[in-house]
Amino acid sequence: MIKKFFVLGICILFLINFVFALGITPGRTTIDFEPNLKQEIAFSVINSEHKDMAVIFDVRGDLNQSISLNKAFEEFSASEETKSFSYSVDLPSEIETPGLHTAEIVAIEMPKDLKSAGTVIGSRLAVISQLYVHVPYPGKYLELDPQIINAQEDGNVLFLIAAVNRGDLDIGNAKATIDVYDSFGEKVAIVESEQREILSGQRIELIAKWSATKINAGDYRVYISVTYDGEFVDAEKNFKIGKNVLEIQRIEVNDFELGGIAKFNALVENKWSEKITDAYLNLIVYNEKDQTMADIKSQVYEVDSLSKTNMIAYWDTVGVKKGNYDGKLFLKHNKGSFDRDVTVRVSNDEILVMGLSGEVLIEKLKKSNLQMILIIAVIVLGTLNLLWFIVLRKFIMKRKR
Amino acid sequence: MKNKKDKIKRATKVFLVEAMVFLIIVGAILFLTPKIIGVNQEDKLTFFKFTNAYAILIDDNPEFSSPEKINEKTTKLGPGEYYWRAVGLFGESETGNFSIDSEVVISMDVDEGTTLKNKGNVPARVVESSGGIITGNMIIEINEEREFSNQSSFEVRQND
Repeated sequence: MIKKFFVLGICILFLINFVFALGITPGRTTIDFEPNLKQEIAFSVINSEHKDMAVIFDVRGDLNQSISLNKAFEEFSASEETKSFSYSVDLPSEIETPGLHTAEIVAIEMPKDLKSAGTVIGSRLAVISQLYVHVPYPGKYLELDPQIINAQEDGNVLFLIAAVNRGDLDIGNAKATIDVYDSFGEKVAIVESEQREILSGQRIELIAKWSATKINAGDYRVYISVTYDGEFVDAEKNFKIGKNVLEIQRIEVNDFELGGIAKFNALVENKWSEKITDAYLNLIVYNEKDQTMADIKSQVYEVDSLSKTNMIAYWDTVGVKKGNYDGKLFLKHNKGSFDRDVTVRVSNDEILVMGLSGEVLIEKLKKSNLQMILIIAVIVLGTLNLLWFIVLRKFIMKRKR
Repeated sequence: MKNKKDKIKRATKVFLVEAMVFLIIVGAILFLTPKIIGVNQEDKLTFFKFTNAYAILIDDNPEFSSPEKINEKTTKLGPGEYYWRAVGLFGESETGNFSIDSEVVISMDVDEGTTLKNKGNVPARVVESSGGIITGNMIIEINEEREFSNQSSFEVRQND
C-alpha cells in the first residue's frame, strides 16, 4: 500500500507543472558620469504570475562599490503585482578608464518560506536591472547607432544616423557619407548628410535622403562613415528597398459561365532584383455569413528578377449565386507575403476581383488638401476683415472731418 | 445734419460688427489651436490626451527630425524617451515628452524540461547555468519561447 502511494506521489510530482514568472523595470538606467554624483534610482519588481514568493537582491558589476541597496530581501503575496524599491548611487570623484561602466541589481526569485526552507534545489530565475554609467572620453568621441534606415513609400530612402558625442569636448562639424551597395556588391549611390554640431554628451540624428525611385527593389547594404573635426567613425547596415516584392498587376477571368469552372489569370510582376521562388496566389471568398465558401490556390511558381508571369488558379462555381462577395487575396513567396481585402463580383458571365489598388495615399492627400484649404480660407477671411476694418475707419474719419 | 449723424452711426455699427467678427475669428483660431493634455500608459499601450487635433507626431529626439505620424489616440511603443506634438487644422501644439521604461519579464514553465517565455518589452539576454557553471547564453525576443532540456538556473537581463 505504502509502495503504491509512493509511486503515485512520484507520478504526481512529474505531472505537476511549476510556473515561475518574474520581472524588473526599468531593465536599464543610463546616466552620464559626474564626479561624486549621488543619486537615488527607483526600480520595481513584477510578480506577474501573482504568486506568493520572496525575492533576494544582489549587486554586481564594476561599479558595485558605488551602489547601496535599500533592501536585501522582500516577500510578495499573491495579491501584490509590483513592489517599488530603490538603490543609492554614490560615484567616485574620478573613474580612470573612459567608456561604459556598469552595475547590476539582481533580483532572485525564492520560495516565500525561504527562511524555514533552507537550501533551494531546482530551477531558479533571476532578473537584472542594469545601471549604465558613461564616462566621457578625453577629447572628441563619436558613437553611431544607424538603426533607423527607412525605405519610404514615395521611393525615397531616409538614412537616420543617431550619433552621440561621448567625448568631453564639443564637436564642431560632423557629417555622414553613406555608400550604398546592391546585393552584388556594386556601389549604386553615395549620399551625404548635412553638417551638424554635436555638444559633449549630446545625441543627434544625421539625416540623408536618397531618391531611389529608379532603383530596383531588393537587398542593399550601406557603409556609413562620419567625419568629425578631422576624425572619423564608421558603421555598416543592411536594408531592403521595396515594400512589395511581387505585385499583382491585374486578375482576369475569361470565358466564364456561372456554374462552370472559372480560370483566374493573375499577372504578377517581380520588382525584386533577385529571383522569387515558392510563389503562389491564394484567394479566399466569404459568403454572407462570413464563412469560407471558396479557397482557391494556384500552383507554385518561380518568378525571375524584374519580370512578369501569369499565375493561374481555378474555382468550381457550382452552387455559387450571382452577387458581391468579400474576399482576401494572398500572394505568398520565399521573401514574405502580401495580402489585401478584395470584393469578388460574380455575374452570369463575368467575375471581377476589385480592390487591388491601394487607397491610403489618396485619403492622406485629401486630408492634407482640406487642411490647406481651411487654413487659406481663415487667412483670407481674416485679411478681408482687417482691410474692411481699415477702409471703414478711414471712411468714418473722412466723414468726421 | 441728422442724415450725416445717422450715416456715422450706421458706419460705427458696421465697424463694431466687423471688429467683432474679426475678434471671433482670431479667438477661434487661438481657441482651436491644438493642445496636448497628457500621456497615460496602461497594459503596454500609450494613451494620448489632446484637443483640437486629428493626429500626433512622435519622435525620439526633440528636433523632430524623423517623426512618425499617428492618427490614433492610442499606440504601442517600445521603451525609450519620446517627444510628441498634436497636429490639428490650425497648426501644431507645443512639444511634450514622456518615457517608457524597459521591462525585463520572463516566465519559466518547469515541466519535464524548462520553457522560458519573454513577456517583457525588450529582447532578453538569458544566461543559463548549472552548478555554478555557465552552460548557455542566448537572446530571447519579445514573446518568444525557448525550451531547455535541463532544470537550470537562469539570469535574465535586457539585451543591448
